[in-house]
Amino acid sequence: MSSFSSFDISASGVFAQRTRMDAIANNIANAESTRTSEGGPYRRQTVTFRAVYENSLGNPAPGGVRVESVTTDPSDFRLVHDPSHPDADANGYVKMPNVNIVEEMVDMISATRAYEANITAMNATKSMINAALDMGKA
Amino acid sequence: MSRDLFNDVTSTTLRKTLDATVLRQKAIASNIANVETPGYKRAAVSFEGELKRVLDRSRGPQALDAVKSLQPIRQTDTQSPARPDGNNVNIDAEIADLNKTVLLNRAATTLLQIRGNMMKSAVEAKR
Repeated sequence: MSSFSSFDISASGVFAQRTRMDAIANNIANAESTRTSEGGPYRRQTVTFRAVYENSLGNPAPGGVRVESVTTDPSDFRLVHDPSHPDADANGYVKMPNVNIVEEMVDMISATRAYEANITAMNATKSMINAALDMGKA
Repeated sequence: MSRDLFNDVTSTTLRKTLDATVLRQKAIASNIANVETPGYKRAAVSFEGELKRVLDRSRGPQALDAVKSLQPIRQTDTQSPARPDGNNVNIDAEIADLNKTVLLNRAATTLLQIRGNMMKSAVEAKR
């Protein structure tokens, strides 16, 4: 077991939160996109995480986190009455993406805080390794 | 005497404490990385309680052997209350633990260094 592996664990956390932040940014950017290459309005993206364990001597040791998948949210689209919109149906309703801006903002705060917590852990690991290195100095 | 310079209870205890802090740091890093993973149960490392028990029980050479065979124990904490998604990481508690672990590590390295300096003075026979 190396003390440097704590860095890798924190790095996996930083990467996971950044991936989540990318998905949130994409959701906010596309909150009004009614056309996508798959056809229909944009669907909200969600990121799923999975805990990773490394097997050392048959005893599973914590090994960080992994981005399991980026999936689309199957919930219903928002219906907005706007007959002047080119994508409006016969009754004047437009299907808008199933993105809720407020929800995305809350997720964004949560991702930012989790990102910072991982950076804090990384700095703590660094200070421990520095303490060990300083022992060698007279 | 067959005892070498760093083969005493104090140095061994400090080294074991360093081992424990490094292992605990890894557990905390993993808990923080998994703060948003559904179903994740926090990892914990126990050491101080067992160390205290060993040092309360034995003295001298027995204490040295007992401390030497002591190992920090990694556990999965399933007791702490979990959130609705099954995850039981409390980020504030983890950050507090993180700071405690770093300070304990600093204390142990500083004491080991002081001990090393004492040995150095003895070896150099400073007057």
